[in-house]
Amino acid sequence: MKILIVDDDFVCRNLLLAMVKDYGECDVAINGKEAISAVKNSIENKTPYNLIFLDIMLEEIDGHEVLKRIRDIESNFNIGGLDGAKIIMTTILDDFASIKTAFAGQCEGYIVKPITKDKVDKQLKDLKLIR
Amino acid sequence: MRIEKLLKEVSAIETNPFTITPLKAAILILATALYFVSSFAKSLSPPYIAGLLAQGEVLISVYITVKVQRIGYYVSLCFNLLSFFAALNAVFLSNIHETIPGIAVPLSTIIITSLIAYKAKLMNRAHFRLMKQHKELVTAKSEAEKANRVKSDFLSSMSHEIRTPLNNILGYIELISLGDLDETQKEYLTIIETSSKNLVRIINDILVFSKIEHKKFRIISEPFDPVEAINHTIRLFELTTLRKNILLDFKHNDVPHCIGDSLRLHQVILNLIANSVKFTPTGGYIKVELTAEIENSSTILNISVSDTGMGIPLEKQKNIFDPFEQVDPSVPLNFGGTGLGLAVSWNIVNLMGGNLSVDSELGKGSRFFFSLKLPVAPKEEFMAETQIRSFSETISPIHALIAEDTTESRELLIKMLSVLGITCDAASNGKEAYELFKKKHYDTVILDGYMPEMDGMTAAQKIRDHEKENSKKRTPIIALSARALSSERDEFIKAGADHFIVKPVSFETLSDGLSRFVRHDLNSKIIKPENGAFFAKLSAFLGIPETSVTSVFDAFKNSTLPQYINEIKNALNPLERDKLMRAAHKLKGASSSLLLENLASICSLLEESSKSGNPEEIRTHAEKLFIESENVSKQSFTN
Repeated sequence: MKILIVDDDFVCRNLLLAMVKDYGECDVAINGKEAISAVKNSIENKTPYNLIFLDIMLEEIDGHEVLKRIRDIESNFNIGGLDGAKIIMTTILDDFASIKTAFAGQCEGYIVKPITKDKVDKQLKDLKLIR
Repeated sequence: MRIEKLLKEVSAIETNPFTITPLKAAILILATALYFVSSFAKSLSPPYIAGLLAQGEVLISVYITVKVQRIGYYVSLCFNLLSFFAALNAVFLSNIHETIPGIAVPLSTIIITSLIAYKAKLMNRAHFRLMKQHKELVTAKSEAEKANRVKSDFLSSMSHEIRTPLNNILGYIELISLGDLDETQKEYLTIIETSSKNLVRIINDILVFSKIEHKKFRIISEPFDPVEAINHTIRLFELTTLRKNILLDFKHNDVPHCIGDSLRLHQVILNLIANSVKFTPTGGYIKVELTAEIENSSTILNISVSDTGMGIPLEKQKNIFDPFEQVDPSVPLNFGGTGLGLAVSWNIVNLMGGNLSVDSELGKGSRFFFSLKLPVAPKEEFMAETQIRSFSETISPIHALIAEDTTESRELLIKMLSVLGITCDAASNGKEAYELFKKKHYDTVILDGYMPEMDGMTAAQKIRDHEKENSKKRTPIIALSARALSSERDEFIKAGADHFIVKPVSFETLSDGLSRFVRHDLNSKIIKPENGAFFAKLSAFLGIPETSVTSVFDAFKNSTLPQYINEIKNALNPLERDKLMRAAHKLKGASSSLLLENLASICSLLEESSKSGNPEEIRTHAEKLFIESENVSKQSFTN
């Protein structure tokens, strides 16, 4: 499984990395721009990401916009529905409104920070990525 | 109750139908007289008068059968037989036509009275059966009560016996946790600790319950701070909720100090939260709410505990507060618990004058709530406590005298004190302690309540007397007891103790108690293990190995934190709200991920105020944040 972690905060990024690094090959991106180009490259190289953790509050391009752009890239390459990357949004407790927006932008799930391994595992199980 | 009274009345009249009371005799004599008068008059008067008199005789017979019962029946039987035979005799001697009613009337009277007597006999028999059953019931009830009392006595003495070794277990667990332990050992130790604490809770519930059953339960009235009481309770669930990944939230408005029983309130909320934690799945949310409405000189405290657990089906809601009641008989297998907690809570709330109710929807969660009306505490009462504290001088190192009869508990106390840097002399009862006290100077005295030969209270009293006689300085006395009875605390304080600690003794309670009297840097000595445990806690919370945690944490402390603080400083001068909000938000995320709750909550305040607050407010929050971040970076979190 290929995993991309997008978060501009060092702590969140690295904690998440420590939690999922045993599930597959992990890449990290520290802003939306990096994330979008990483997704594009991976699809071009025929090694797309299966799972993306995406922080909502990113500088310049925010998480919602990144989500939308990723879905656009996928549809340009005729990847859709179940074949697309599973995207889990990460956010701090008090922005539920943006979670709604995220689901409208076709994410597969969300995790409220602080992120813990239990929460991550539950999401991955729900998405049938791990057993 | 009414039936019992009725039965008693009836039985007083009818226990023996053959007894002749003066009233019965009078009625019988009168009836006999009337009967003979009427019979005599009948033979003289014209037939139509005789008919009337015959009716009168029937009435007399019926009356005495009903009123005087069996005797009356026999008497009337005799009368009627007599007049029957008299009439038969007359048939042969005189005109037949006139005497036909003379035969018919006594005969029909005999039949009527017989019927009445028969009916009465049947009723009597049924009544006797009832009486017998009633008597059996009464004996069965008193036997059951006796058995229940024996059960409760057994339970309460057993619980007490169980609590002593359990307290030792808890103390030693704490001692072990100070040593060098590897991951697995630490994990096992926390499991042992939680299990032991659960056991203590169950035993306390049993004790309270048996007390309530015996109406020995007393609610005390003393000033306390409801917010602090609930905060204290919530702190106990820190680790459990962390491990289960449950968010435990406490919201309250301005609540004044009240007069009531804080210990019992603590117990109720403890039970309610424990119950919610038990039935709320991972990732759930538990909210404790406290609001106060002030009404003249009293406050109405509205307290509720709501969760997002499995909920309680409607038909089970009404008996959820019965002892040993569980929603589903299979529940104890999955979740554990005796089912006593809610019953105990309900009873306590009831005794405090409130009513514990539940609101629940299956699958959505439950909300337990109650209201208490408590008097508001006058301000002075709170000041009194702080004044007693400052009568000792700086003496270091501290030398203490302890008295405790159980060997294990004594050893435990000695070891805990030595960890706190306190040396001590140990006595195994109050008398020994008193003898030691007379010979030597001690900085503090710690006394157990129940000891052979001389108990703690007497010892405290004697020590005070001795001090007075020899005009010595007052030595702080700390009392220990396994019983959380308020009456016992009062007695101890009256006997001369200055502070009361309920067992199990922990570093926290012990150092808290000591620091009231002895100016000594007790806490600095136990901070180290606390911090060592910090990473274990964090690692358990996040679910990743401790090594990953420490490296991330170090990086946070050394670079991320200064970087955010820098960003915030830059955004303050000149004020750039967007930048400030972003930085505060990011720092909040990072610090809450690392369980730095103080830092996270200040960030949250700053973030909030940066949106629309005035510059003054923003600056205050920012200042607070800088101080807190200094604290975090100064603190040494490594072992």
